[in-house]
Amino acid sequence: MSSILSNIKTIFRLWHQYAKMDLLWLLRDTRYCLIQIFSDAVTALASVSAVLLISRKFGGIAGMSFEEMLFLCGFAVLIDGFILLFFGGNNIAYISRIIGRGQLDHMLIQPVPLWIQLLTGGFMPFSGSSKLLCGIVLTVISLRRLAFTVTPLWVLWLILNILCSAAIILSFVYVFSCCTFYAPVAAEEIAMVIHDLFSDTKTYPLAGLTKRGATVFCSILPVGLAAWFPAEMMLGKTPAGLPGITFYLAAALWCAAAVLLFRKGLIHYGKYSSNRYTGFGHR
Amino acid sequence: MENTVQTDTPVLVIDNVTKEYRQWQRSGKVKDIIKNLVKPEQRAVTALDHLSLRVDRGEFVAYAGANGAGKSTTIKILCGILQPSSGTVSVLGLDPAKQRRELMSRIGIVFGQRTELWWDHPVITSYEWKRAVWYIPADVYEKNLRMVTELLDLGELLHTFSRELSLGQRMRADLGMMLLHNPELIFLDEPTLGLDVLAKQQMIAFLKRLNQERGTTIVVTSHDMDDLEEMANRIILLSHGKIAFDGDFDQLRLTQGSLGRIRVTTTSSTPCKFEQLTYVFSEGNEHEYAFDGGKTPIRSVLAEISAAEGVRNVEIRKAPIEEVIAALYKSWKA
Repeated sequence: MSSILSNIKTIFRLWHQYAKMDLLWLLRDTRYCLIQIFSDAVTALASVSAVLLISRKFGGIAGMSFEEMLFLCGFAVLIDGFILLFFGGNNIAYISRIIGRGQLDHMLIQPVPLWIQLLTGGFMPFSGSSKLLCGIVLTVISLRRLAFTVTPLWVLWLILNILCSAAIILSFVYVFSCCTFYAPVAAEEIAMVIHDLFSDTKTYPLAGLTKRGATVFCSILPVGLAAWFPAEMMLGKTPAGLPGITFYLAAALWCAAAVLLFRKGLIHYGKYSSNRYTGFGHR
Repeated sequence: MENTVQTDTPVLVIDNVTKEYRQWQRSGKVKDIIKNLVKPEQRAVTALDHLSLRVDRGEFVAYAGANGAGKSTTIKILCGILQPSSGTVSVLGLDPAKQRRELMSRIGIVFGQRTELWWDHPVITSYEWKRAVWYIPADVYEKNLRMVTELLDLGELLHTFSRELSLGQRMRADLGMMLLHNPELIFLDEPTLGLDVLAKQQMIAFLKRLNQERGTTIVVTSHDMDDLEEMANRIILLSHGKIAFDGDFDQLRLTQGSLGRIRVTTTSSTPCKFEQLTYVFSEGNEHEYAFDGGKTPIRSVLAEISAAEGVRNVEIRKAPIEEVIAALYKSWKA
């Protein structure tokens, strides 16, 4: 019990420290600060603009109305914003870079469990908040246009779904990033490729696919679970004819797979380490 | 500086440790593509070969060896980053593999070719980060911050971005950061690499003071033998993963025949011939000779020199440690 409490205290202590460092970094130059906030907001909106424009032109896509598409896009940006805010710093969301560059050594010499370092090291609540704010704005606009009745319980459900979607995306990234333990050079940028896969596809509804196709995209290649599946659930639909529990089970299974493979990779790292590192600082 | 360590059990014990790697072998020929895919060739590399050693509290140990001798592998094993293939390791009475977190709060590590500083922040922010991660009590942090700021002359550097520091400044800042949590044992992997003469002198003086006044045990690796001799009391030389020598620097010289150097200044640029000395080189009117102090009494050598014509000055010194080590490396290769 005391170790759990101690870990929780450590998490908050480190979040506090990284938040402070993020604020200092953001405010080191007001001009850069404003440019960054503005460009992040533009990027967030640009990432969903294509699918929204198509949806507007054709009055919806794959059984989803324009307003529902707006909600899907808002939810997708919310997830991106959540990942950016909590895991965007120091390549924590791009773990293959850390492993591939031999920078895991620097984490292993800290007197803190590795999972706590991974949970806290990427926290950037100031410089990484613009995407989340855009997501909140888009979601609120879509809910108003849908005339959706939002209850506190529904908001809690939304938060749970954001957590599960983010867990699926990050687990998938970590599963593939484990290749870097075995091939540090070849797989160094694999996390980036996986993130791109989700960025490019998660705002597209899968209702137009066959059930088998939709099932594939909601299980072994979980791009459908990243935004579309939970967004449909929250709009009161049954995505791909699958029960809602599928989403939560998938999140748990992908997390378990990521933990298992990452531990296996760490054992390999303990045997062979990494033969490369940069001389230009590790962060 | 005050003593902060206990003085009983050994700081580190390496018992019969072997570390083996496997390296993929490629012929580089197109005809071997299938073979490389189906049955790739591997080569076993023994980085450490049944290595055993013990370091006691308060020692300042130089850990040296040619490239690939196994120095960095040992440091990584001692830090728990790498696991040995066989054998046991104990650092401050802890198993680095199983008690990594506890161990890390009690030791300090500096990798000379890397930095622990945050690149895009002033040095002081990295120190604050360390305080949070290591959970250093406020009074200990403040006291150590004052100490490293004064002794390492960090005053102006604390508020400079790490990426704007020179290599020497960065190394000083890294050293300061490493000491903030009162480590009992310090591993320094190539700390003098790339430093200019002044920066080296400052760092060496600081480390010696830390070792003498605070009793901190220090294990340092380097290729610069002169630096090592200036810093450490004991040298462990590795060759092909095994300990080839363990003792002090004078004993090390003895292994190569107790060679000493005599520099004779004469009135001529032509070196004199001495029966008991071996001519090495000349610089103007200064001529350097080697002699074996174990075989030839120094009194007899001086008598021969003083009998020669045109001798104006005689300077006796130890054989440069770099040459002793180079001769050893050469003999191991042969």
